[in-house]
Amino acid sequence: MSEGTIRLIFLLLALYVIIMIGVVFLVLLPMYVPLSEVLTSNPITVYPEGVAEVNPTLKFLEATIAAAWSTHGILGFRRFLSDLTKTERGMKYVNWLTVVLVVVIVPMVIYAIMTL
Amino acid sequence: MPTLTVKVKRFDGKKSWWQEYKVDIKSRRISVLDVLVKIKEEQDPTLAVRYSCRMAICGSCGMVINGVPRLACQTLLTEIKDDTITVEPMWNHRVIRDLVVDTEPNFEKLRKVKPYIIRDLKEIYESDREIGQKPEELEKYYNFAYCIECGLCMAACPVVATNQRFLGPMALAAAYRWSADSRDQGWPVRAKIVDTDEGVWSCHLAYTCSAVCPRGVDPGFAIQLVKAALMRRAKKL
Amino acid sequence: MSSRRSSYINVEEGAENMRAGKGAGEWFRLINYERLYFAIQRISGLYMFFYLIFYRVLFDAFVSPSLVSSFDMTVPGKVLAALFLVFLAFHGLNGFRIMLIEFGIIKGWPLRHPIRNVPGLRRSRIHLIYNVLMIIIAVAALVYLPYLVTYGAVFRP
Repeated sequence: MSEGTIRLIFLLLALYVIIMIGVVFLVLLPMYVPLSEVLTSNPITVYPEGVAEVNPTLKFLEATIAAAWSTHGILGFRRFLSDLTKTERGMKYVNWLTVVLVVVIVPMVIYAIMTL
Repeated sequence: MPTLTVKVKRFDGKKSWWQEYKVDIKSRRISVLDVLVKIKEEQDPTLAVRYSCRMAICGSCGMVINGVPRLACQTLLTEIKDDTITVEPMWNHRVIRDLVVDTEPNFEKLRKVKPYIIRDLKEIYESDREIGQKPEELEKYYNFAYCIECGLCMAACPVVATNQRFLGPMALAAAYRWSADSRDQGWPVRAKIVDTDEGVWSCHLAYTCSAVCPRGVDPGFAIQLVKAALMRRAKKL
Repeated sequence: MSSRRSSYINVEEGAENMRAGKGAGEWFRLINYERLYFAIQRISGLYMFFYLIFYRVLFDAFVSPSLVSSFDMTVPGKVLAALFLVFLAFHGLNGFRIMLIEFGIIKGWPLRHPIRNVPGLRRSRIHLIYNVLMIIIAVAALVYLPYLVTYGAVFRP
């Protein structure tokens, strides 16, 4: 996979997270609770537990946001590590670490959201 | 007559230290290079400084003056409001001695992006057709052709500081300049070279390269143009 | 170590093969404002990665949710949460600016000038407007989000 494709996926995941967080807070939650309540509550308590309490089916949406967010984070961490890597061999280890992190963390994050 | 204090970071191959010189000058309408040459002539002939054209065309006298990478010949004392000038060698480069750094890695990276017209040679040798260029085609890359390869952008780039595999703004701006030239047909070849972790994708848009460029080349912007072309899978720049 | 000859000469020994500059310290040298954005983007990204994924989601789900809830009510917990939200706001805003530039939506063209060259991004009106909006929203987030974490109600629908 070319680096440009990885970067495109990285940016599209970020765009998805930005848009969907906005949609959840400003469109979906106000369908169940007043917007003023959403905007004056502690955001840490609103997302993700609060959203799951409001409507358990929103957990599926939250899981996609969580998967996108964690993948974006792992790819961003890869970018950070690549700036410190001096050799091609080191870059291979970084790429393998990225694959391992994605394979391990993303399912765990999805499971964590679905079992809220 | 003002007296300047010039603090120079020296290096003799084994140890590094800051040395201070007091210089009497007749006017502030001289450059930092003039001051350094005066130090060499009158006080300390062992001070190693690289310079040549003294008019911002050769790119030899790149150094860090008062915390910003600049050309010493182009930095007038009128721009430096202080009477203390701090001069150190260009960042991110191996220091050979005093203010002279090893710029060969910059040129190795530049050579990797094939900085020349790539075109079907058969067409050139077997036809009499003149390969012209319209003014609007020239305008697409002309600004980026002003690069004098001074290496200040490489000194300023925070990514080059830690990632020595990164091609750097100098090479990537050259990749854009040659690929955007209407006479060139080498974009597919160069795209493969720059569409990598060592190519444009390690650029994090710190944009200091463009801030310090003495010729207004704006290498940071050239890198973003290459990125946009790669994202859009452009067949031609 | 100071030289015996002069106190202003601080000699650094063992500097063979010296590379000028600070290495990773260069990330935090401030010369232009985009470099400041880059430094904050890096710090915020790393902080959010570890806070969100390892503490907020994984520790909460797999180790001890009650410990996480009780820590969140303490002062250090609230500080970390407020920092997370402020960093999230900045990281998102700056990230969107980066997306606009990398997709080629923000356009400008450099101006070469004998004395004062102007880089392309500085000549782009969209970039300038976005920068202003970004700073306004980031400052508002810097004030409002920690306020919400400290005094906001616990969300109980």
